[in-house]
Amino acid sequence: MRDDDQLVADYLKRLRRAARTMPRARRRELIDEIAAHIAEARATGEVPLQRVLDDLGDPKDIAATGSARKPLGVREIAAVVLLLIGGFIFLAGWVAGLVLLWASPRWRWPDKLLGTLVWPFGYLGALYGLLAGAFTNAANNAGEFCGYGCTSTSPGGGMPQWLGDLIVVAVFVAPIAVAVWLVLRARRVPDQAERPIFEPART
Amino acid sequence: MRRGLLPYCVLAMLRDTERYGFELVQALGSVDGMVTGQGTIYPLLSRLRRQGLVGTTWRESAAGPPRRYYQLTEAGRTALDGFTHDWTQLRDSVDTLLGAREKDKP
Repeated sequence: MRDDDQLVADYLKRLRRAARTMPRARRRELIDEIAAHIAEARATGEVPLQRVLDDLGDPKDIAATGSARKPLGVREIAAVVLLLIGGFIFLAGWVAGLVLLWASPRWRWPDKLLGTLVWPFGYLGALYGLLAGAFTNAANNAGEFCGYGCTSTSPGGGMPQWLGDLIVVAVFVAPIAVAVWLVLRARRVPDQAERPIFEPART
Repeated sequence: MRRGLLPYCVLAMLRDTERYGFELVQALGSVDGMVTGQGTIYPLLSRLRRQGLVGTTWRESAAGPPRRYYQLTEAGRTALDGFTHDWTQLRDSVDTLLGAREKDKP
């Protein structure tokens, strides 16, 4: 009996690990249902536990069926990479990334807008903004000419050190954060899209 | 079992009666060649529930913890009826092409 308990615990552990990309509520539901299934099967005592687990199948297959993610396409990967660093390829790389972003059906318009605006030209834009910001800062400008990446919160005078640091971090983290966001959104499968294949014909 | 057909077989199992997960999986498993990897039925049930084709109710069981019962919703019944109609037509057409119908006739 103890061995059986261990067997079940191991199986559920593997399932939990395989299902970690699922939304939390859905993952818990799945694990609860599988655990209940095993308990019911053990209660009948008709089939050896190992058979029950074998019949259930590989936890990876179970989790894959319930997965809410699908792999990225080549075009989506290219879009994200080009948006990040394509600006260094004579700006054209970023523009190509932008075209791919807007052409892809895997993103909806708010995501596309986000990908376009944070930051234009990706890290090239971020770098330019930083340099311009640093330049204006150093020049002790009156805050009238404020470079990209410089929020005009400094009415003349130099920015405090911490604000400068914050901006540097924001400027460099934002493109990566947006890239991660875009990847997650592109991998998402909306519920409407996971209809059964054999749709009843509309007449 | 072909991926696309399984959801409708699950709905068909619930046509006349509600069932809990283990019972449903056993019933499906007793049909030859229906399911490989019984565990994959559960994500499917979850999906059908999110699509509003089945509903769930917790009920006390005589022995052990409460069971989650699945039952067909109106939308589920409509989907199943539509599929049954399409499937019968398709099957008849294929049977005709294969000549099976002729052979069966006395």
